[in-house]
Amino acid sequence: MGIGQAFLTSGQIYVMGFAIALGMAALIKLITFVISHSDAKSAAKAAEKEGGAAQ
Amino acid sequence: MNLLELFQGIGSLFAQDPTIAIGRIVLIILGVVLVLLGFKRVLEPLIMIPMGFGMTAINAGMLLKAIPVDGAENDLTNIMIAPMESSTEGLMNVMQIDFLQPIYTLTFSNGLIACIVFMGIGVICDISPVLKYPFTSMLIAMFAELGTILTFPIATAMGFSPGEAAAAAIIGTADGPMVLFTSLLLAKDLFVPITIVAYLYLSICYGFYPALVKILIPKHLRAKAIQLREQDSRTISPKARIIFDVVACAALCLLFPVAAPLFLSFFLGNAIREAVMPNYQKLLENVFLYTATFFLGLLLGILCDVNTFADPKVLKLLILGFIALGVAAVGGIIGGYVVYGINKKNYNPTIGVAGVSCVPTTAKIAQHEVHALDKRVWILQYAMGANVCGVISSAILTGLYVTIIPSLM
Repeated sequence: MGIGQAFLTSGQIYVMGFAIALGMAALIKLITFVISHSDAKSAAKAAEKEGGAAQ
Repeated sequence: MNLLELFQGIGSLFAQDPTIAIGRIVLIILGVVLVLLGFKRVLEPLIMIPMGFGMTAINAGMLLKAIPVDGAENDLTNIMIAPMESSTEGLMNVMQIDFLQPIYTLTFSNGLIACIVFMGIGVICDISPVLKYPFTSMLIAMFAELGTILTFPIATAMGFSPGEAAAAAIIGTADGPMVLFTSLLLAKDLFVPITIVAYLYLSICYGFYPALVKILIPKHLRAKAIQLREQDSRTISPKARIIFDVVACAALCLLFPVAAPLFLSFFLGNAIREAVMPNYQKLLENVFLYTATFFLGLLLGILCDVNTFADPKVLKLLILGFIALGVAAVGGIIGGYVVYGINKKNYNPTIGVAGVSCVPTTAKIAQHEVHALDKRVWILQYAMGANVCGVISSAILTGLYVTIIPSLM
């Protein structure tokens, strides 16, 4: 393998790696967003139930 | 019987090429030096003390295969390990004689030991900072991978085959198990020197990286405190952390089945931490991780016989290892500056060095350098985010190399 092709290969690997890493970051954002919303929903439901019981 | 036949460790020195004999003596002394440097904490003692003992013992404890006749050169052997034995029958015989052969054959040459170490790393990693600052942490980690990326063409230019060049480049990930795993897959003939070079350099990161940080980051930026933002006060629930572990593991295994053992090990280790299973945690952290690290050091030392270092490629590997880890740190610091710019100067570029995945050494170096100037400034949570992302980005690049490079060989 020539040095030119080696540069090209490692460049391709870097671009793919960067894309996957940013994809992982987006996945993390999505997971934390979904979980925090579902947690907030269940907390609201629990509060509603508690309120109903108190009434 | 003469004395040299009786004391074969010494006798074998006279039964072989004088340069090889001198090499053995040098390696015996080097082993002693590694033990002392480990003892003084100049190098990482967990690896260096067993490695130094192994190196000294293997080079001293050589036996003659047969009694030499008329001063003719003689093949040497030992009763510790036969790394080149690969036939089933031969292995069965050697495993009954060489005391470290079972560990080498059943845990080392198949990468199991690397996976166990990685599982232990998963157990000690807190991924909350990654989930709090995913984009900045990943960005810094990917900049720190520049060492891996630039070393590959340099190694190719130095005459290494694509597999060997890739294995040498992975030293830039600063992740011992990853280097071991890649070199076993792509450069089996060179996996001993590559792994030794990686662990040697990783051990001296403590001395070498702080100097780089001081050179590349001016004092006022090193002492910069980060103003708290909304996301800093957010707590990440254990549910979110364990869901991330299992989803990320599945996604990465789907992308790179060749590196699936590494992904499984890291994320399973981390999931055990997040699921709060103290018995498993203690087992992995206190027993598996330390047992694997001990045998890793010992076996690397035992594999350091003189023939390993007689290969002229070893000198090139020393240069490549230095380039890979040096460029990785510089890349990480550039990443720190980029995030400093993106965050409108509300960031400390010292965190960049933590993008080099040497958990938790580089994060501690970043915090230490900041504390040396101002004791009130805390950057550890940001640094740990970059550090753990460094492990993930290293696993991604390892997956890419071990998937792509074999098609070019």
